[in-house]
Amino acid sequence: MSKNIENIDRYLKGVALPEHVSHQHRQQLRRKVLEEIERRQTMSVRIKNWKYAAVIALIFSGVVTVVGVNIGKYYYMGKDDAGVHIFMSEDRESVVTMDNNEVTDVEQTRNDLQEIEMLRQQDNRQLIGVDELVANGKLERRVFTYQYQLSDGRTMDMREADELNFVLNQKQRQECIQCWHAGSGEDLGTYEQNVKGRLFVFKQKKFVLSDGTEIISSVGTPKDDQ
Amino acid sequence: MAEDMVECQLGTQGEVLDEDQMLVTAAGQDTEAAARLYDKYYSEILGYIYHCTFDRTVAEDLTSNVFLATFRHLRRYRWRQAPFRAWLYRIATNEVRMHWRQQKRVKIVSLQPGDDDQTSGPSAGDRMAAAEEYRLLHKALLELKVKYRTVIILRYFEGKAIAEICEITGRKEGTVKCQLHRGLTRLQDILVRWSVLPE
Repeated sequence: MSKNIENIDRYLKGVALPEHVSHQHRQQLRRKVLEEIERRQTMSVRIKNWKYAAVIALIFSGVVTVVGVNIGKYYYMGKDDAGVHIFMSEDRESVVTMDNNEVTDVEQTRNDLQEIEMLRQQDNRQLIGVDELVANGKLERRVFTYQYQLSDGRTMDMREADELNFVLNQKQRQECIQCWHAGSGEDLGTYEQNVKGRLFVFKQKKFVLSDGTEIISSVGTPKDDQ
Repeated sequence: MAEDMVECQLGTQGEVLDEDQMLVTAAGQDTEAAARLYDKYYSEILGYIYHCTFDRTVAEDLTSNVFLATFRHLRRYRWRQAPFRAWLYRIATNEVRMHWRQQKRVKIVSLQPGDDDQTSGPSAGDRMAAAEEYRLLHKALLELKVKYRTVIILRYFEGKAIAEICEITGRKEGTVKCQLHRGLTRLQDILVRWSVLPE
């Protein structure tokens, strides 16, 4: 210690430091930090579902939801890497993905989703489409399209995954999407089937992936619409 | 510290991790570990920021920013570069620096300790006396460049060793010692000028 700073060194060592303790702040911040960690844990668990929902959205443009129970409020989670908007229910069991052009006002969309959820729980909706994908005889997924009439008169179509079995791997799923968009495949004709009390006409197509997996896609629309 | 050292199979096989490293490793997934980490450092960081800003509300706000940022970016933390405590202090120092920068821009510097009925610890009289003594010193510290102010606060008020200040500021030992010496010389000049210290 050089002589010229001895005074200040001694002075600083003797300074009585003011203290500040706030139990209220300590507890509030503690809660916030732990909530944030819990939220991130849940987010990382849900990411598989987002991606799967986004894959379906790629195949069938429109709104896709992976359904849970006791949903309540919806929260906006932002966009994923592909620019798809993601909304998540309060219970974190339900994820809704929407394309960019389907969301003009996030707050309005959030409110719409909450209204739709109420209508869904009352089963106040109309089934207007059924899509099925079968891989080597096993059901990969079945997606229902429901139409909801909102209180302001607008209608909104929601695709809801009825069954997801993850038969295909990611590579196969990507190839499936490419085939779908290319419109390739062999036309297998149509058949009729009653789904949830409504008669649907299904158009079937078959295509074969590069690894030999046989895919049969069926798209059903109500017979009374035709 | 040796008693705290525990053999743990994380990272490279056979690496020895201390308590902080284990807590940090677990904290991203385990709220109990995160809570222990928070409880361990909350008072220390709040105290440091309070000594830097001398404003209770600002100290609480900046402390909130520090902990939220720390736990948000926990995965980015690599403990080979610096101990967790030093990393935390580095984030706190940056928060304080940003606060000072903003204060400079709006030309508002709070020199008065605020009232806070929620506080506890030393008696009200002791707190008032300490705050009064600190008020002039803090005002003098604000006259210094940020780099000098930071090393003085870390060394004298937070009791950090030179090596630890190096880890927090990311500066070499020679630089820290030089900054400390220059800072002290300038602070002494100011306090002498204000008749707080004898010539």
